Amino acid sequence: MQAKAIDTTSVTSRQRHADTDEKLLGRIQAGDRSAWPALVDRHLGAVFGYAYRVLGDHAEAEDVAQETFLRLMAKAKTWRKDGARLRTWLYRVAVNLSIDHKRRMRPGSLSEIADPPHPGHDEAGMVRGLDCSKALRRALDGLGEHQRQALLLVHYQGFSNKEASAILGISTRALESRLARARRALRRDLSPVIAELIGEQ
Amino acid sequence: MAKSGQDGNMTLARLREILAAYGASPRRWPSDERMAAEALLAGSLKAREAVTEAARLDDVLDRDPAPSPSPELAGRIHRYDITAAAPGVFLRLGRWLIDSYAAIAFRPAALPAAVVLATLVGLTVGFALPHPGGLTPSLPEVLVVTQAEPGIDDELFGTEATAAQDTDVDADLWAGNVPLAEPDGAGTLDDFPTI
Repeated sequence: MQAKAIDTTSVTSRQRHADTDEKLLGRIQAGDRSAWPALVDRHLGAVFGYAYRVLGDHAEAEDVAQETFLRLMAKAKTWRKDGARLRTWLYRVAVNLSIDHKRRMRPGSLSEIADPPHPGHDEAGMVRGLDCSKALRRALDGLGEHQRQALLLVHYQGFSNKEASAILGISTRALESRLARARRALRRDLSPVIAELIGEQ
Repeated sequence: MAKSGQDGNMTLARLREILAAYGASPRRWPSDERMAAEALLAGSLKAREAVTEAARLDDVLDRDPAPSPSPELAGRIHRYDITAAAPGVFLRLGRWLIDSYAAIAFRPAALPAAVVLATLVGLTVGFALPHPGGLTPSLPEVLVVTQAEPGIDDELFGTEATAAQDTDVDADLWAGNVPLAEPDGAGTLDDFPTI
């Protein structure tokens, strides 16, 4: 009997993950409460990660993520599939909210970024890892807002060029130009780190 | 922007542009150029060297994993009462009707049928609606609105206005000097049925 119950739970869990975003939204509109956590779990980590990379602050990123999902909740009741994918819509909201939050943050707060988890085991490796992360974040902060948004969406969030340009409301050609400028600036600013990594190899 | 060839062949110049913008991983490259770029990569040493160069920056970028949100945040958002925001039955019914209509009406093959149907519905509703004095507007109403020849309406319909008065009213009416509401409360021009 117990085995049967466990089996049912696992089937339900698999079904939750198999449902598309549109199906989950349809279930929400039909009053199915269980669809909401499934939808949140699918996108929260990525939306938070994106906001964190823009803002460099855990609490601010959580505010943006929470506000994004609040807006999704308000939108879910009237959501209609009219060509826009939910993921694209979510990031469009998150991009705008992140930019607003960043404008409100006091200058200099972006450099006070919490140290990331240590990637290495030995102390020297940990120091190098931290240096690399800090250098990267400073270099990302040094990018223009447009260039950073393009890079974050394509490199870190895995959007295609068409999806990212739809989120940012620009052409794919303009996106490509922003990406190229962003990477050129990063390569310049991170050349010592790149050289060090090549030396390690 | 150097484009790949018309036949889908990728040039080394275009591949370098792709690498400069999207980095070394083919999964980030534009989907419509990916296959051609990979084909070039397989047969060109220079192309492979360009990819290796681009991969160095990717390697640095990928050394900065984003942290995860706190479980408290997920818990807070999970607890939102999503069903309170669910639409009512009538909203869902209305949306279904609109979607169904759109699905039928916007198919080119169904357009003539939709026009005929809309015409039939319009005629049916038009004839079915009650109208004061009959199904069509009465001639006096039409003539007042269209300003018939002075004198004729008196003779035909027994109105008390003289030809001279009618002419004066005409001039004032077209000059915009006559208020739409009659001072004696006889009604307004808006009371006349639409023709």
